[in-house]
Amino acid sequence: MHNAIPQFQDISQLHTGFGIAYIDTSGKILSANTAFTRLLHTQPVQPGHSIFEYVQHIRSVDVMHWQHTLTCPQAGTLEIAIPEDKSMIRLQWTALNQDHRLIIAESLPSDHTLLIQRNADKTENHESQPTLGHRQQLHQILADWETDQSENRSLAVILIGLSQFKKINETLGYDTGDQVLKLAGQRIARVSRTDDFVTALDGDKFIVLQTNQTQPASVVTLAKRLLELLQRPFLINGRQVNTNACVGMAILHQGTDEAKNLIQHAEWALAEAKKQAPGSHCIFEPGLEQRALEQHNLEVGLRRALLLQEFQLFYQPQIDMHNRKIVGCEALLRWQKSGKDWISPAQFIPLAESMGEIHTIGKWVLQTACHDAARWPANIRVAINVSPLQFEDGSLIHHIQRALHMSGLDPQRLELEITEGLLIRNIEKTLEQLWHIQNMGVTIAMDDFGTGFSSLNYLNSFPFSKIKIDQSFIRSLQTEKSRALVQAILSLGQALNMDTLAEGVETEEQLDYLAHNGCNAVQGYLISKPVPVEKILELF
Amino acid sequence: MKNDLYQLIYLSHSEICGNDSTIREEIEQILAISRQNNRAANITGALMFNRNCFAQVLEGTHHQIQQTFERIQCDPRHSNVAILDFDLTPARRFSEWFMAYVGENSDTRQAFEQIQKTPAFDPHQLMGERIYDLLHTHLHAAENYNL
Repeated sequence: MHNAIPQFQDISQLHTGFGIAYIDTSGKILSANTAFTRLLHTQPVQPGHSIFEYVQHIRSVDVMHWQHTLTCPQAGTLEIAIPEDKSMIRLQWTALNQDHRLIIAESLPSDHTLLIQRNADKTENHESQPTLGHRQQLHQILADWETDQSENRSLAVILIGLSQFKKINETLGYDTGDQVLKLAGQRIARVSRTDDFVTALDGDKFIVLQTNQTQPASVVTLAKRLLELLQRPFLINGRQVNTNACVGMAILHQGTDEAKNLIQHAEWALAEAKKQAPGSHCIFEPGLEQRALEQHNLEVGLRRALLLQEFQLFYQPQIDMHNRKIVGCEALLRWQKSGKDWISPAQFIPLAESMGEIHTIGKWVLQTACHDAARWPANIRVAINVSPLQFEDGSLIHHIQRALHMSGLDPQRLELEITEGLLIRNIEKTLEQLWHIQNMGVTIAMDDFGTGFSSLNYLNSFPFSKIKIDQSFIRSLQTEKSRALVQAILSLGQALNMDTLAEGVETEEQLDYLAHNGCNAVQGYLISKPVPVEKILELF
Repeated sequence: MKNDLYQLIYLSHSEICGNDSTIREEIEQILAISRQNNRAANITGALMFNRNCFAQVLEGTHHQIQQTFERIQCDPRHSNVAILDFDLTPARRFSEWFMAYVGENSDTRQAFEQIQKTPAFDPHQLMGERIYDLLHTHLHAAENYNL
């Protein structure tokens, strides 16, 4: 199969800050812009002539080396000193296909801010400080990349995102942040291959472009090395500074069909890596695009869900074990997006937490549930789930007071369900709020007991009025282990004088077992599934 | 701050594999290059090595230590770099040495291993100072006995 002869665009009139030239492997110029001429301090470059005619005035040019280099498919960099104005020019070339090369020329000014600090003395064992390329060059290389299936030349993007960089700026100052970026860039450039193209993107991201390597092995190896290196300390302004990173990768012909999409795909892979632990890496696969778009739609939808009144509270009855009468209802949030799909709380609650929407949504839940419960018989309570994040800004108490005041609901009829996770962070501040809420007359239940970071310490640290046994234990009550656990929790409740409520009760056998072992209350499909507010009154 | 004198003390795990002579060659190469680089950057210090770990002290200006440390960080021959101390220092204590070396013979090795076994109740201060003193004492002992 013959390579198609590429139709290079005439770039002679392309006005950019850097010089561009298309040449063939013999050095013949196909097209070059005026900046290329200007940077080399030579007569206007004409197509059809050899590049060697234009660089003969530059003594440092080794023609043999250049001739050899042009025939190699690897990308490379060369720096030359221009005698006329003593400037330094960096030439970077990339193979566009078997026969054609792209050369980008840029000057290296002495005040070049980012990473172009050349070591004056050459004592670093021939290692000068590594330099980064320009972002425009990256886009140029990607735009000019010719996909050549016959050679199956590979092209891959490694996108590195520093984690917690904002925090460094906030706590140690922007100067420290800038230096972290500079040193991180140097590390990346230092361990990348000489023919990798490395550049900084906006903010706290870097890109490494790899050509002609065996993928995905090559990007994965480099990604792991970079992640390890970037978590090592930096020495800045007399201090040790730590950061870490995540990496997203995209590889041409391996999930990405066009070079121009590589960066976007690497971004999606990076977003996926960031969802995992710090120091993770992820390679783009087509499913990620769909997921990223769905996530985006979900975020957009969630931002307007309250305004569009797409949330609803459903209520699930809780019955007293002795007289089997309803004593309370748990309020459960439901979201019907755009009047169509019901989105699971397991999906949208974490999203609302990460977006900060949980505060307004939580406020709405409080107000609505109190308002609904105020119209129920006076012996029936309402239980509301509260996210740990709602405790963080200190406004939760105010919102509770307001919801009680507006609805006229007796505080004794409101119960907040919190999870064990709440007591892990900022325990003092949290306990202070819990005591305040309890003093208002509101009761506090420990939800999902036994599933999280269970510690008896947590139960001991606060007089919870109730322990809710997670439905996973009830569902597996036929196993010895679950029965032992449930019994232990029930005894614990009795010993600590806390009520116990079992969730997810679906069979008579489960109900009987719990009744015999002293459980105070139950909820689950056996009693009733969660129902909309207009249906709940029929059950009382 | 530009000309203030700083010292850096760090520990790292050695990733050098091979038999004794390979290891010796690698260490000699590390020392040769670091002495050459340090002379130019006016960095002084000492390197201690046993079969598993490096401990190194660097003395110099902030900028030179930062740049030297960055170059060292990217060297694949070690990993798990832990900084024990990075602070201003009134004077160089290894002023004679562009990179003094304490190998794995003698009492040093034993003392070094002891440091690593020390419970880390205040690892940064304690270990930094101890390593510093250890290097200093042994180097001067070696010098005095013309070893």
